Amino acid sequence: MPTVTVVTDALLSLAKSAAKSYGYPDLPMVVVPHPFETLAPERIRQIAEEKFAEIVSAVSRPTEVPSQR
Amino acid sequence: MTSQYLDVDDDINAAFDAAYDAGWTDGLPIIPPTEERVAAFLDKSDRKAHEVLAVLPPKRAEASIQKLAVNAVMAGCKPEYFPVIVAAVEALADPTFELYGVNTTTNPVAPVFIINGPIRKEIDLNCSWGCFGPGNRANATIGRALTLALINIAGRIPGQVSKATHAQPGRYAFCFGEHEEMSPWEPLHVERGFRADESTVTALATTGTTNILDMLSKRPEELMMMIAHSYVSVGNNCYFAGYAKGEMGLVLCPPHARLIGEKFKKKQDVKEFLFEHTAWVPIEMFPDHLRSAIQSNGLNQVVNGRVRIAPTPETFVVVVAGGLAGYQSVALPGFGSPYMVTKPIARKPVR
Repeated sequence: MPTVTVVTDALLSLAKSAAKSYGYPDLPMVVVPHPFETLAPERIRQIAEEKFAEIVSAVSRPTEVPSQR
Repeated sequence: MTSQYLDVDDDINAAFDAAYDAGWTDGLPIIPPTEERVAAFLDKSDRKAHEVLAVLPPKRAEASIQKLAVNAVMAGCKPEYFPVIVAAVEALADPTFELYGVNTTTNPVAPVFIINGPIRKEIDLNCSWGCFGPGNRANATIGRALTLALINIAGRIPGQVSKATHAQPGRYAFCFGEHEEMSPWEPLHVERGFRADESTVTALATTGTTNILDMLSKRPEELMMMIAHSYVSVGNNCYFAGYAKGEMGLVLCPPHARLIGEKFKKKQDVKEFLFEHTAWVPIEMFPDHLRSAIQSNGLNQVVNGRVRIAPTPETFVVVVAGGLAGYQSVALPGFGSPYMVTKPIARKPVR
């Protein structure tokens, strides 16, 4: 199933490390600014619009099926 | 799976530098885990070197007996401590403990390892004066071996994988024995279903220590009131992310335990008092936006305008430890996602 992970820049290294540990080194990710949880809804909407094309591209791109772990 | 090897000069400083640069230490010097040292350590155990206990998240490397021995040698452990370390890793790896969250969160949460049973005396574990602090080899090196295992096997690397904003000193080592002989109640492991003559280790996730001083209360319920009201600040996890799950600890010094035990005959009585009386913070102490969040979280956390810190009396884990004078007890606030795990320590004679 196609997925994309949206992650804030401060947590990107953890996301990449975890993805690798679970056998998904090339898991598609889109990076947004940190912090996120304190943002006003209008700003979140703005970021979503900025990132929309990138999200669509990431979820449409074929990736390798990982080996079983 | 085999361990990585480093070639270093036969010099303890060079070995520390190399291990530090490889990211294998807690920042403190280590005993170089040479093949000879690890083999000698394992020779005293009846476990097989390549037996794998678990994978430890988030890195999910295998916690094999050999790898645990390497970390135990690095920490400065004696071979007789090894069964405690093995049982503690089994506790950490139990899904109930939610180690992935503990190892990656922004919160400072650290596991504290509480040891019960006859092994405490066998390894000369400190249950008394200064048992949370430096000075005793068993407390310090068992705690440290587990810290090194969390770094080297579980991958808890500050900043890169662990997003703990500050972490806490308890992440260096936090291991003590319950002072069972000074408790008016059953020890923790008996409460958890083990026999008194069995030895166990309990892993409990805690954000740190909060000291509670009361030298003046003469009646048990007065002291209990002081304890209940000392428990939390509004910044505690239990008001935001951590209400619904997990435990919080109470480590009573022997004098406090004795006084409380005069009236609170069962541990359950202590827990029920704490459950009721820790719900003292008025909702007005929180800024507006948090008031509505707490009131509408669906967990019935607000009762008569005051906010509960625990959903049930069983949230409180009560043990007795510390020196025999002084009137300091310690609250161990919770993280709110993991539940504690108790594992038996397999004790075979050390060769």
